[in-house]
Amino acid sequence: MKRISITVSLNRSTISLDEASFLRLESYLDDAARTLAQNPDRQEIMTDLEQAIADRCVHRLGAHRPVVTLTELEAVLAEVGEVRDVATDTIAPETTYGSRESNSNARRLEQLNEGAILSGICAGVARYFDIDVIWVRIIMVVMTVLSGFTAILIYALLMLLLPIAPAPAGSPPLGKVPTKIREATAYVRSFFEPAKT
Amino acid sequence: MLIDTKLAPLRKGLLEFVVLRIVGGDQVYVPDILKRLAGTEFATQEGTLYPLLSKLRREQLVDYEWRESELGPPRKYYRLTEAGLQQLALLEDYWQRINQTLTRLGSVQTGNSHT
Repeated sequence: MKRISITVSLNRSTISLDEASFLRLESYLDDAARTLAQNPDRQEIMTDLEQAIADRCVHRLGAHRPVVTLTELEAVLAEVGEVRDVATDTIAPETTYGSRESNSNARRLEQLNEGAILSGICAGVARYFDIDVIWVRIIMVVMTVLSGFTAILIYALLMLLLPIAPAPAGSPPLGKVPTKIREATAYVRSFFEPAKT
Repeated sequence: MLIDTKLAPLRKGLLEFVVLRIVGGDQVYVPDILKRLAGTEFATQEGTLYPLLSKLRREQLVDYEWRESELGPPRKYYRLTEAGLQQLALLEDYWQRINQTLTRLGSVQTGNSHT
């Protein structure tokens, strides 16, 4: 069963929507409310937006047109645009920018060559889980003792497979892998990613 | 693409200045502001403008009054407050100084670039 028409009150205007457009509008307004969650004027901005949407629907359809369909609503929402909270956005653009950047770094599992003992696998894992590298190293050592070969094998595999984080500007890679092993690893890796260079 | 990622923060930072300028010119309601900005580098939408205006009002730089409209519900007309006028003057001044600095530092001679 499909509901044919749902009448909603947007601020001071009343419009009718079909079911699909009702759900779309609901999710748009939910997103907007979430974006503005920290905003002290959230209620007022939401009211303004509802009115803007209602005005545009009426403008598009005429005041007595029965039902707003999804196509029409999508066009209206595209005009109104995604809600951006300038209050949290522009007060400290640099800090938000920076922290977003480091967050996205933290999400990636990579080898961190700089400051590494071998190839930076432990450092990469530590950054991924946001813990101190020393704990990963301890776990690694314990696992090596307990499992014999397996842990070393896993380390070697990760060395071959994990992407290498780009070195920060101006710092040479400091991994202490002997050059021969480094060259051999690079050679093997070249089979995995031939298109990269 | 790359150049736009560099220019976008500039536009974003200037949007507030631009909006203050428009509101400073005359009492306006949001569709007026959108219309003035449409087709410029600062073209924007309600989704951005309403949160910005509410922030400016929180900072007591703009205020609005309700006006009846013939079609539909009453509308909010925005205007600058005394503090808003002062801030706009400061921004105008700062903008001029930036322009002077840019001129003084000289510009790249076209035709002499690497590309």
